[in-house]
Amino acid sequence: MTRADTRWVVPEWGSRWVMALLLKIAQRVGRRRSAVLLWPISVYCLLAHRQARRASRAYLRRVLPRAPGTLDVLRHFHAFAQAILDRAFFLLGSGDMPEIRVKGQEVFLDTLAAGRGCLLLGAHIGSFEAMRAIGHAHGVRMRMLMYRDNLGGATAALEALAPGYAEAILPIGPPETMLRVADALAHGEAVGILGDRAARTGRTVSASLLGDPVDFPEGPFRLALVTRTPLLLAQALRQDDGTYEVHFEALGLDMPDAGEDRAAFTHAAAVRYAGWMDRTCRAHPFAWFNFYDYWKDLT
Amino acid sequence: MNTNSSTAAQTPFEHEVAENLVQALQLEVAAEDIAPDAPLFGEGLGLDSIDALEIALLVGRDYGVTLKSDDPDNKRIFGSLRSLCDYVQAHRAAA
Repeated sequence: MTRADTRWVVPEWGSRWVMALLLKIAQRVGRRRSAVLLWPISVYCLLAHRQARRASRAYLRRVLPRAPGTLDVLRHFHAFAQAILDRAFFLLGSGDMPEIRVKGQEVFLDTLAAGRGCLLLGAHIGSFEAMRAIGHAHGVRMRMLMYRDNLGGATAALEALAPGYAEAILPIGPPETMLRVADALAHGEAVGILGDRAARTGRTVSASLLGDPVDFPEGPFRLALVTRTPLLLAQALRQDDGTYEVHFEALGLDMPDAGEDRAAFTHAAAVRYAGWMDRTCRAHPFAWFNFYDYWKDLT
Repeated sequence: MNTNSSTAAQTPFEHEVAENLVQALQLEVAAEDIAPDAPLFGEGLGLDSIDALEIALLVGRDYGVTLKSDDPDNKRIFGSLRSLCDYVQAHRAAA
């Protein structure tokens, strides 16, 4: 089977109807007031999801300067719950969205102004949904390239909040997937990819993250090469005051000419990407949302 | 799969396209070892959709044939070397 890893579903805790109910409540009482629900939900998830709890602790052990305690793990779960709540309001697109500020906006707009589109490479750190809101604010069409095979019920309930969300997705799978991406880029669109989770069957490139090697998907870097499209690193991180800070930066590598050594480029690019993730995790340790055995060292 | 020599032999055009593919995609197989009927994607040659994009760029450049993202026949066209070559030849002839 070529399905993406089922272990990814682990963070999608909860069934469709529980999520739908919670979202109803959140919409009724508003974003700020529904935040009080997040602590009890986080405590529940902490108790109910042992694998996620262990994964969180293993990650925090790498990133925090001290040994992580249960309260750190709880804070991590809470940050994830908060991100989902914020995502719901970004998807709703109403006036109740968190405020967004942008750093490196010129990099993004200048890249798009060149007319060749732009690849935005992110990770499961912070919120990619906030990024879409930025595109919207600038009249830039932005779509996400992602695996849709094992979409969880909870995510389905979330995405149902935004009518037409499916049009914002380019599902990975059929051979023509990347032809569609190339079409979008040729129209000057921005295409977002989360590059920190490799499918079990895809080609990977190894780079060190928080002390140990990780197999990253090679796809985003090859795609940039084949389409000759500039690749920007993109993140949107929640600040203590509840606003989001979006940051764009260029990958900063020259692409080799056709026929030259691609492996060297993909490796150098993966090293830069991992370095960027590393810095981001250390600066915002609780914004990491890969709640599974990421380094494959938990038994 | 099918090793019958009558279907496994490449036509000259298939061989030419296979050589271009091996070179452009930097594949680690010899052009003549690509069975014309074997799946290109997934199980067979193990190509992915980025390779499909490169194939599309290649046939556009070398043969002036455009492969479209919304062609309902894409699954078949990209199914094997033979189906790809059949499509390219048919559309090159029509141009």
